[in-house]
Amino acid sequence: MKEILAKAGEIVVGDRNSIITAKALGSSLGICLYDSYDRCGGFVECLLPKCTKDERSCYVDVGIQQLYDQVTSISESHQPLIAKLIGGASLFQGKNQQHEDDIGHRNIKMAYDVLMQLHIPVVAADVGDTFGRTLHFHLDDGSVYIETKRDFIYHI
Amino acid sequence: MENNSYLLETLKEFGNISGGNAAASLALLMDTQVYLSVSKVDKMTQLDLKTNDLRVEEHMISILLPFDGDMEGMLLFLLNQTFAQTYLKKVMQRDVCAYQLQEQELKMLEETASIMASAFMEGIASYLKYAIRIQQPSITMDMKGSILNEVLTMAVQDQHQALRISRSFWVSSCETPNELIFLVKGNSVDKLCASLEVSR
Repeated sequence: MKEILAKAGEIVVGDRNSIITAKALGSSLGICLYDSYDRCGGFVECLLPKCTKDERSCYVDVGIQQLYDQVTSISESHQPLIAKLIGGASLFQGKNQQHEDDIGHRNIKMAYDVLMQLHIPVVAADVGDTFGRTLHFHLDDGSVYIETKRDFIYHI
Repeated sequence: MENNSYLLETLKEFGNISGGNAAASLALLMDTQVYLSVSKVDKMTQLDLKTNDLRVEEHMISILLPFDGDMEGMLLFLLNQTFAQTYLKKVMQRDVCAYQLQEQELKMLEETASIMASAFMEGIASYLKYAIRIQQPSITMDMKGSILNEVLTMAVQDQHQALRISRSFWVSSCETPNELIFLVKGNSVDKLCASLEVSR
C-alpha cells in the first residue's frame, strides 16, 4: 500500500492501493470522498469555512468542490460518491468561546451544506468535541482509522 | 531600512524584551535559571498555517490567553510534559503525573501562564502606551499540530495577515524546549503599524 501524506489545503486523490494520512487535525475539517464501485477517492483538509477572496482549497466551500471535480475525473464508473467527515474540533472550548462561533463548528456546517448541494451523502462523521485527530483513509475499502491524543484508535 | 523590515525588527525587539520579562517571572517562581531562544517574527496567512514541524503529533500542554483592548490577539504557551512535571513538582512540592493532571495542577499551570503573560504584555503595553486586557486562560492537552492548527486559524480567520513572535524557553533540569507564541490579529496590525509609524 502506498501512504500519501496530505497537507492542509492540498487535494490528494488515490486508487485502491493508497492510504491517505492527515496528521493532527484541530478545528480544521478533513473531507473524504469515496467511490465504492471503483475503489478510488480523495481527501482535503480545510481550515476555514468560506472563501471570500480567492479560490483556494483550504476553504471548505472551495475545497469540497475541487475535491469532487478531481475524484470524479479519476473515477471510471461515475457512480455516486459517499463522504466521511473528520475533525472540526474545538480544543479550547469553554470559558472564552461560544459554540456557534467556533471555527470547527462552522467548518462542519459548511461541509454539510456543500455536500448536500452536490447530492453526496455523509455516511459517517467523527466531528466536533475537544480533541485533535490523526486519520488514515484506506482507499481499498473506504474505511477511515482515527487516532486521538490518548492513542485511542477506532474506525468509521 | 525598509518599513517592512523595520516593523519586523521592532517586533523582534519587543519579543526579546517581553520574553525576558516572562522568563524572569518564571525564574522567580521556580527559583532557577530560565534559558530563552532569540525571538522569531513572521507574518502569517492562511496557507502558512500548517508547520513543517515533524513533531506535530507530540502531546503537549497548552495554555491560551486571548487579549483585547488597544490590541487584539493571543498568547499561547506550549509546554512539554516533562517540563510541566518538573515545574509542578517544584512548586507543589510533590510528585505529579503529567499524563493525568488533576484540577489543582491544571489551575496552577493556568495561573503560571497568566503571570508570565502579564509580564510579557507589560513591556509591549508600556512602550506603546496601550491598554491591553488579558482574558481568562484556557488549558488543553493534545497533539501539538492540532493545537497550532486551531490557534493559528483563529488568528488569521479575518483574512488579514497576522503577526507571530515565537520564543523557546527551557530550564537546566529539563532542556526540552517549550514555546511561547504571541499572535497579533490581522485587524490590530494596522493600528500597531500606525503606532510605530511604519506601513505594513
